[in-house]
Formats: sequence, C-alpha cells, structure tokens
Amino acid sequence: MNSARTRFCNSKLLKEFVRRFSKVKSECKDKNANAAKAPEKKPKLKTFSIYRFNPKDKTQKPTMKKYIIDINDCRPMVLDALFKIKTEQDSSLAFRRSCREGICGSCAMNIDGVNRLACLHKIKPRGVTKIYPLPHMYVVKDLVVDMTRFFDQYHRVKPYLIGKSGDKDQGGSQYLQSIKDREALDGYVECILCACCSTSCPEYWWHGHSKKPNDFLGPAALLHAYRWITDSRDYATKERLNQLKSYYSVYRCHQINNCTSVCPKRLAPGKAIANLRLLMSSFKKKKKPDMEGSLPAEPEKACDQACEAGDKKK
Amino acid sequence: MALALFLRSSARLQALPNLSRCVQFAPSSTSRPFSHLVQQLNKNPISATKSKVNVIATRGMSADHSKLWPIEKAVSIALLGLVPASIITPNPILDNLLAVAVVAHFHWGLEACVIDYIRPIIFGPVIPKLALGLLYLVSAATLGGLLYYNHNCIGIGCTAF
Repeated sequence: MNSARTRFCNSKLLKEFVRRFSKVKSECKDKNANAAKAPEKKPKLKTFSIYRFNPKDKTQKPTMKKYIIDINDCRPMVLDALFKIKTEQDSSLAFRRSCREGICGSCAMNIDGVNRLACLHKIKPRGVTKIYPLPHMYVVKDLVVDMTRFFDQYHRVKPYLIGKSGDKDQGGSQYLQSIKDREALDGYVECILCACCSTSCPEYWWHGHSKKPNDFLGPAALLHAYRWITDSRDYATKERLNQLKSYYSVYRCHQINNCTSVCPKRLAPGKAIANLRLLMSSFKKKKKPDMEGSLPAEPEKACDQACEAGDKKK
Repeated sequence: MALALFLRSSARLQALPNLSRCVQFAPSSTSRPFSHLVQQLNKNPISATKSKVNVIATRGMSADHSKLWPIEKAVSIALLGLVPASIITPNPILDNLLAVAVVAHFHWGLEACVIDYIRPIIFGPVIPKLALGLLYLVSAATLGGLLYYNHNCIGIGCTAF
C-alpha cells in the first residue's frame, strides 16, 4: 500500500498534474488578487505618543513612547486604540478602564493637552496624538494616577444625606422630595468623579495637595458639596457651609472655569462654586423644601405594624 | 491697610472655635491603596520637591474667609464709582477713601498672587511667609504714602489733571 503510494507520488503523471494545477491556481490567484486589491484600503497608520513611567524601575525617568497602529481595523475611540496597543504591541502599558462608554470615569487622561475620557474621545486621523496621565497627580504607573487624595477630599464634603438631628429612622424610611426640588439637582448628580475638572484646575495643582484642612478641595468635591447642600432632604446645610469657610477650601477658586470647559459630562462645577460662595456669604438662602417628612420604605410592613398596634389597643 | 489687617484678624479670632470643628470634620484616614507607592516616589529625585509638602505643619489663614469675601467684592464694585468720582470732584474725603480702597484692593489681589505662586511646595516653609510679610510692608508703605500725599500735597483726585 505504502509503496504504491510513493510510486504514485513520484510518477510523471502526478508531476504534470501538479504543474498544470499550480499554473491554473496562480492565474486564479492573480485574478482574485487584482479583484481584492481595488476595494482594499491602504493601511491608515496613526502614531500615538504615550507617557511611560514605572516607579519600580529606579533607573528609568518618565519617557514618551511612540506606537504606530493601523486605525482601519481599530474602533473609533482613543480607548480602543489603547486596547489595540496593549494587545498587539506592548502588554506592559498600564491604564484604567472599565465601562468604555463614559459612565464610570475610570479612563480619564490628558489627551492632546486636554483632560478627557479616552472612551469618549475619537481618534484624530492625522498627526501624533499625545497621551499623558492626569496632570499634577502622583503617577502609579504609566497612565494610572493615585486618586487617594482626590477621593479623600470628596469624602470630606460628606457626600451623603444628613437628616434632621434626632431622626431615629434613618435609612428605614423614604424622604419625600417634590419633582421640582429633584430637578434642582440636575446638572450636579451626573458627576462621575473622573477628576478631569480638578486636575485641569491650576489652583488644584497648586493647593490641592497641601496639608489638610488647608487645601483647595477642587471643583469635583465642591460640586458635590453644593449638590448635598441644595438637596431639599438634607438638613446639615450650616455645618457643611461652616466646614468650607477657610481661605483655601473654596476661595482659592479664581473662576477661570477650566473645570466647566473640560467636563466630559458637560456639568458646571464653576457655577456650583459661585453658588457656594453666595450661600456662604448669605447673599443666597437655601430654598425651603416643598415636601418634608418621610414615607415608610416598606408600606406593607408598616401597614401590618399599624394594624397590629391597633389590635393591641383594642 | 489697617482696615484689612483688622478685618483679617477679627475674622480669624471669631472663627477659632469653628477651626477646631473643621479639624474634627475630617474623617480618620481610610485605607490608602497606593500610599506606599507615593512614599517611594517622594524619595525619587524627580519628585523630590513634592516631599516638602510633608515638612510644613500648618499654613496660616485657615480661619473664616466668608466674611471678608463680600467686603473684597464690595470694595471692587465701589472702586468703579470711587475712581471717577474722586477725579471729577476732587476733595479730601474721597481722596482718602480712594487711597484706602485702592490699597486694600491691590493688597487682596497681590495676596492671592503671593499665595498662589510663592508656595511652600516650591520655596520651602520660610520664603512664602517672608513674601507675605513683605507684601504687608509694601501695602502699608503705599497707604502711608498716599495718605501723606493727600494731606500734605494736592491729593490723588487733582493729580489726574
């Protein structure tokens, strides 16, 4: 069997067949190639210059590294390009990302000199796109920055509802709020804490990392401070305002509105800070809430309890 | 100038009880995922200047600024009327008012500049305080000079013509 096969393979007939077949095949290939070439695009090469820094490598200073990718087979956003670079060229590139649709705020970075979310910024077809980490933050690695201080400042403005003192049923009932009062919070609740605003603010660069409490809190934290102060369900307005009264916390803002122009969610932290100042100097008073009081969180349970209490009375 | 000093110090005194409350407001430090890395970074020569932040214990002016701020703004607005008024109708009262308002206005503006640009992070703990002291000196001298000019010479209002 085996010998018959080798004999067939070596036979002149087969060689001739192979020769002719390959000729036909190559002709077909040429035709196909010509047909395929016409609609195929040239590779669109795009250069990204990306900040690289690894603090563990003591000998290496921060450098800009260039990556060239073909954007024909890349989806449109800068984050997609970063993914492509990481999977195809350099797996050591570090950056934060999560939702890739502009709702988590993880991929904030400085792209072409402006703080943006990489997932919301389209790749420009020409030129070199420069990508840096958020300015004036401690770099953990490459495009990842240390957000500890930023979130600490956010926590210091107490980003939660504080009810009336002596309100024992906190968390057990729903605070009432009119639709109008809720609408007053629009433009403040959408903040995703991406830190684009704070890190674009020169005052935050200069005073954001001073020793607390003598540090400028930054637009993001102040936006949230205002959001909780204006909330009709919140009763700690005075304490919140007292906390911000120092020379540094709010008043370092010189209203250049970098925060507002850079915000990827189109919010206006500058306006919030201006309102805070008016509230603090009592040129403006907090509106009285349309609705007060609360509803039981679980109406059925509350009903049962009321019934039981009624039965006991009888 | 004296007005500025008085306002500043009075505001500070009033807010002393508030200050302690401010400090209490700050929550005890929570978990810090990257703080160990930052410590290492600070030892690097690249970011050596940043480590000076830890050296500075306190900075001044952590007191209540919300009372002085409306006064700053009021003076700014008042100057819009005061400058033309004192030039059109030169008299000693307007001259003296203008001298005080202008110096206070300049002082507050330059104070913000000094605090923004001469920072402890860059210059260490001593130079920023010296710079601020120098600014107070310059402002005081300017006010003194302007008042002297108003009393012993033709006054600011008449100088324009």
